[in-house]
Amino acid sequence: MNLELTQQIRDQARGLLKSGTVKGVIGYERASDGLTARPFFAYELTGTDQLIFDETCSHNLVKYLLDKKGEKMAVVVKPCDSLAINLLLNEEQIKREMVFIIGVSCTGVVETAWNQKSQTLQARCQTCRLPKPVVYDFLAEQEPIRRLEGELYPDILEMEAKPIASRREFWHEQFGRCIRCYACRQICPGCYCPECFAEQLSPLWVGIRIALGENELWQTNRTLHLAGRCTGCNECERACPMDIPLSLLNRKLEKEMEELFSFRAGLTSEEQPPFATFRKEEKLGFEE
Amino acid sequence: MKVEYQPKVIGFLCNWCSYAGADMAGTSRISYAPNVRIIRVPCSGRVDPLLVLKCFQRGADGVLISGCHPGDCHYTEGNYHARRRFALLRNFLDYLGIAKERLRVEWVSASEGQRFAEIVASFTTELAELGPCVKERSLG
Amino acid sequence: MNRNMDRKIGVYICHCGSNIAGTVDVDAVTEFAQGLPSVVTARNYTYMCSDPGQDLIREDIKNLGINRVVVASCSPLMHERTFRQVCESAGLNRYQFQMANIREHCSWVSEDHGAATEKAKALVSAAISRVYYNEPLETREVPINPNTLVVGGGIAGIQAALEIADSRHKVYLVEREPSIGGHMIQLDKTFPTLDCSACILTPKMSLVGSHPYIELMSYSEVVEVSGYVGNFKVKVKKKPRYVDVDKCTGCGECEKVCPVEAPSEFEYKLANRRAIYRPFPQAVPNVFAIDKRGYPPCRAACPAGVNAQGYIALISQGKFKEALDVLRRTMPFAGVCGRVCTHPCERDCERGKVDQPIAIRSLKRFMADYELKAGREKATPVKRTKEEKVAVIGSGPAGIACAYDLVRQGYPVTVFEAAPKAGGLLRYGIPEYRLPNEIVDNEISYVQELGVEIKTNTLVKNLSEVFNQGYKAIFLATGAGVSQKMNIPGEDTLGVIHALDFLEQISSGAKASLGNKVAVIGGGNAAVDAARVAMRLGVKEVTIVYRRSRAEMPAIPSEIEEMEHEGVKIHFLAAPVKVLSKDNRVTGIQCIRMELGEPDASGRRRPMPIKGSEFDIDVDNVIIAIGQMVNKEMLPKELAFTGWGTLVVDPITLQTNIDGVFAGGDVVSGPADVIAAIATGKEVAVSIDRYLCSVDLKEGRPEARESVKDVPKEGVVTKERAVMPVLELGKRAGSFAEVELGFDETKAVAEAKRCLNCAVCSECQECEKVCEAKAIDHEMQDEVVEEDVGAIVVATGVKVLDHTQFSIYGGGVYPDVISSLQLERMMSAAGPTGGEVICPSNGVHPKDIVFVSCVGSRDERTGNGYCSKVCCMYMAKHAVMLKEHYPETHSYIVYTDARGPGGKIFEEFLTRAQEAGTTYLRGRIDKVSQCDGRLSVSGQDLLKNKTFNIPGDLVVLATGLMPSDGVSKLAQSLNISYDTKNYLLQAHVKLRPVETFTDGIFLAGCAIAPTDIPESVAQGGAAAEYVLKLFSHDVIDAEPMTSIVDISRCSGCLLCRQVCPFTAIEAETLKDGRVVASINESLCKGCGVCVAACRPGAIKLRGFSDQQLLAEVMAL
Repeated sequence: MNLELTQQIRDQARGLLKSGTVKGVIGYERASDGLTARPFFAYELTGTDQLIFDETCSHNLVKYLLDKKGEKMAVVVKPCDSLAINLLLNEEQIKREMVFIIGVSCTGVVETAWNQKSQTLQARCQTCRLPKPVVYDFLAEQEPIRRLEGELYPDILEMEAKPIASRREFWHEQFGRCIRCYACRQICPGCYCPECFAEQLSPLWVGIRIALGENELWQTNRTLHLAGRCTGCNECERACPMDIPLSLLNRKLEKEMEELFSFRAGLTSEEQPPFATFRKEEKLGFEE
Repeated sequence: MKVEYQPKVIGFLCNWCSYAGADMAGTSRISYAPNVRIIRVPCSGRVDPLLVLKCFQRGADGVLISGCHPGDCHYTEGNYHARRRFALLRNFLDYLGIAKERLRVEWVSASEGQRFAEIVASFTTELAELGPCVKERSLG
Repeated sequence: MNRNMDRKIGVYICHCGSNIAGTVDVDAVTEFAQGLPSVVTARNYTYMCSDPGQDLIREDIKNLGINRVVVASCSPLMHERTFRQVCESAGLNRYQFQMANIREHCSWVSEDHGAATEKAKALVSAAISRVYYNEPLETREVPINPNTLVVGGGIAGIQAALEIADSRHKVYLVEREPSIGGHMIQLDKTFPTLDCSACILTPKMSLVGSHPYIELMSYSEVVEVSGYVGNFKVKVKKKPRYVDVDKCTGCGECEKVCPVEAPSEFEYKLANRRAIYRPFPQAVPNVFAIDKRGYPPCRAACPAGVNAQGYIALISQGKFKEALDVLRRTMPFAGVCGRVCTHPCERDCERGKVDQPIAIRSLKRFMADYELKAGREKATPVKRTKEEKVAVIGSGPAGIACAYDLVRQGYPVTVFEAAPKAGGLLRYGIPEYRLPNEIVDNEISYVQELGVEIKTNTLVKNLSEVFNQGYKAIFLATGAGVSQKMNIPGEDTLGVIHALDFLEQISSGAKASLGNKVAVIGGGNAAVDAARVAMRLGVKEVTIVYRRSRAEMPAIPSEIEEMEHEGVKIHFLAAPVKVLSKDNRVTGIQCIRMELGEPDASGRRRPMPIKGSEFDIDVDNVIIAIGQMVNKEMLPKELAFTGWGTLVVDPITLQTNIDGVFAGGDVVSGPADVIAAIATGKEVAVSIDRYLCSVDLKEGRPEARESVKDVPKEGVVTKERAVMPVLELGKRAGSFAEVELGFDETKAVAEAKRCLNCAVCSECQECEKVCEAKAIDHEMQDEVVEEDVGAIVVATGVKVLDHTQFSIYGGGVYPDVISSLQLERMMSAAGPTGGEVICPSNGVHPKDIVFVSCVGSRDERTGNGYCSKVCCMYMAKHAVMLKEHYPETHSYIVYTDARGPGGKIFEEFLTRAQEAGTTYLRGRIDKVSQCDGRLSVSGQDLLKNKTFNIPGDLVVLATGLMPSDGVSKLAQSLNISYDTKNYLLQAHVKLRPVETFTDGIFLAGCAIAPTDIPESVAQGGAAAEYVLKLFSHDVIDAEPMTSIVDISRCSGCLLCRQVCPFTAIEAETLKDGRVVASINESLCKGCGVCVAACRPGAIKLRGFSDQQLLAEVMAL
């Protein structure tokens, strides 16, 4: 446990609850394995003592704000999580005045599983370029992490370099394993449609049976729906019980959005996302 | 006659320019490959990428999206939105193993019957060279 | 598949004669359809669109309970409406219908019967699959604005406007040109009846002008259109015609006094018009317009913005006094600048691209000379309208120019001058042989007469004292009056003089004692002046020592030339290193030779001393003229100075670091020329006025002065620039008489006539003086008006290809190769030749006339592939009429095909032309050349299969037609289609010939394709009929294809709001606090961009729902 950060978060949470500024605080507590972390909602002053922060706090808690629209909540966000706040602000899913953001300056989180903690940073943390949250009301600070300037998309480039048949094979293998449990969707802060296209019966976009074609359609369009919106928290991949490398899909589009439209999701809450606008003079590879 | 592989093409044509352009090809009796099946849409901006995915899932070998030339959109800017959406989709499909050549975006005006026929011809030839999309993908 | 048993689908396959059935096996398709789910019946019939075909559907609806209909036939753009009405007539909602296009998209584009049949099956299957989901839709009623916009005032537009207006509906007729009438009003007679074109058109035109229901917007252009049928919003830009249409009476007095001529567009350059003009006497509206193209290059180049074209135009008319008035609108120094200006205007003069620039400076001087000679009347003092006193310190050109501008605005202005007389360097720095004091005196007196007070012998060193005296603003224009030192040994020796001191002494009348030999150091105007003055004082030998070469010498070249005439020698590439002396008296000067190195910051090559090349010159005096500096000692200490010793000012406002204190002229720029000083004086006047009125000093400054470009020079005959007469050399020594003598009146007028009038209107404002109606406003600006209309008729017509681009036919090469429209103008009794047909080169009647058809038509190599339609007939008309007027002429018509289609005695007229003796030659022209003073037309006779060579006096090119310029841009803003040649597209070439794909917008005339007059009139009438049909109800049924939001699915992300091109989507807060999208159906045009953007699929476009399109995909 990072005592320094944990103390700052607890103090802040206590103050917020005491003054009645927020109804509750969404943070992390120690999981019952005594090693990893899990989300925790503190509504009482006493609960604030359970709040922790350390390198196992992987969850993106922003998702929970979507369920708490009516009440003002405080939420603990890492720099990467804060991008999702801007996304939801931009898409008018949350109101700024209804959220108190406890930002944390993060040094990266590690791979964890039940009762297991690895020593290596998660892949996304290894190329993280955000030393502190892009939006916050309070910042729990520590020495900022070293900034890495390496290649952002080594795995994507590797995939792109493969022959098309190999790519096809690879994805068929991956999609073939999908059981359409929709955990990837449930965990995603950007997936908040009242009724997902994949579960609509009229029209029936995605067939109910679990088959490669339907699975592919689901994953492809899910990724497309997150184009220019995915903030890279990678919760979906962690939630996937079939270990489908969803970050290879999401980050491919993240890379495309940067290359085509010089856009990165979540950096501000004001900028119009690429699919809300256009530039007349751009050709995008199509002849006029 | 030897039955050659005939790629299946679905074309989404905007009502104002490209559909009329395809009509013009007919009115001018310009013969082209019979592979393209045309779906009339009000605007290229109406075409949801999901519809295109659905075409490929259903075994299309190629999808053509055709709208008014940039600047000429009947709804002033629908084709600009389409351009962005399909620029991304093309690259993404390619990444997933569906060659980007299988998704074509063309701007065809109501007077360009000849051009429409030429586009269909070149698209069909290109798809024939790529071979069938569906078999290789062996979707369940 | 779980199918709703309520769905009963009827499928009808059309044979379309053999159009479909010839390729597609309609029986097989019918059988195939019969087997598809929910299909109750499938039939085929020869012509489904015919009555019996339609009845098939009606009966099935009644008898079989069919509730969904598919017709597989032609394009829905052709017959969708027909079949929807059939359904409706049988009690079925018109939208429970779907069409499969198996003709345009199938049978007509396939040769392979089997493949075509398979394709037809697929298309039918898709339609069946889709129609299953076609819901009944209700049309909405939308109110109609009963006003119409007609774009284009040619015969088609006029006809449409009149028809609509006569039915008492308001029409806005927008015409780009100053008058309506189009091409028809330019014609003499019309074929084949030979009616007088003007006689049949002018009554209609005047009706348009006076019609209570027509608002004519001439000289205007449509810039933006939005909205939809019944409810368009149109923005029209009214171009400034500088004449108030409502006030102008068309009397034409203005035209008589306008000094500028330009080729008449109406007469196709066969005659000239004035800058203020109306295209022709019967113009509607019968008012004038001024042709302004912007700033002439001379005016744009002048730092002070002097309107040279304005006064030159008036000089050319002998209006010398008026010309001077034009100059005095800008500044008072005609005589001064006419002598000493560095004339940047002449550098940019467009005439210089033909031969030599206009002698603008000399013409300016001429005006001043003329006035002085005639005796100048005392100027009337300007009335003081302002309280705030302004102090100007320094009476050089900057100070006086500023005082002049301010006094004319009504300010009380006082000029303080330290010297005994006003004028600054004009008086003390420039010698009299170049600028007589009399001239300076005269122009300063003029400024004084206007009301400027000048206090000489008054040195001002304390600014707060000036403010304490009640002055509200101060202009510091004290110049740069101190000579720069050389910093070489011996500079203080007796006999070394500084040029400015020297010139000032002489100007003040003091005697200067110089020896026999004088060296002048420097290469600027002060050096040249000093050298020439020295010569005049009787010095035997004057030598200029200059460190660079002649090319770098900054003095005015003509001055250097005159100086050398007068005997001054120049030592180039030499610099002084030491003044030689004996008994503290100059005996000579030691110099070193220089060579030129790399260019320095000034862009001139830097002089470098050559080691060991020193040499001596024996002289008695050395005059130093290497530059001037600001005298810092004499200026108040609180001012900020630059490193160069000049004053720091804001580059735009020229305000110093002290509020209310401005500075300009040499004290800011360092030594510069007179016109630059005047320019800054004028800028300061603007600043001071703004300062005193508490207006923002910077807004809108500096004023952009865009020079006109592409000044036409065709037909300009070269003529030498007038040479300035000079005083004989023999008379110059010992005298300060002026060297340049000035132009006389004849010379001035002739020189002024060389002006090309680049900007056309010269803004001399003579027209304003004579206009009794006070209709002229030279300051008029663009105005954009917005109107609401319910329908639009586009009748933008054509332009005729310019015959001068066809040089292979001699166009633009030989003056006697003309265009048909030029011939037409010559034939017109009201035309440039009064109805006489002549050869432009010599003015005599042509005997042999050769007509060349298809110039730029039916010929992709030189123009367009299509036929321009009207040429064959008008050539025959010209031949017939020429024979009637001039029986001795012989006409040859070289044609591709002689076309006279469609009855109405067209073909007969061609015969008549032949009977009149016209020689028709079928073939193509190879070239038109000139031999023995006559034109020669050679080519191939395709009927006789041999070459021909016809001599002709006049060759007439029947140039083809092209859509008007800018029509594609208009079409884009109207959302209507156009073809590759920019002709506008009809909704259907045959059945909807004047409608477009956009409801409420109709077409007429040549904008669609070349047509003759009767067709244009018919189309104008037809378009009007469609408009009136629209207006026959107060409301219109709008297509129900709009988007709606299923709020249960809406996520409230509002991406749809951002992509909607019509701002039809807003956020709506529901009772439970959820925010969802809400669509305003009256704004929604049904593009569906929002549908594709909507991730949860909450938006449905009626008629094009996801379900419907998906059903098609699933079936294909």
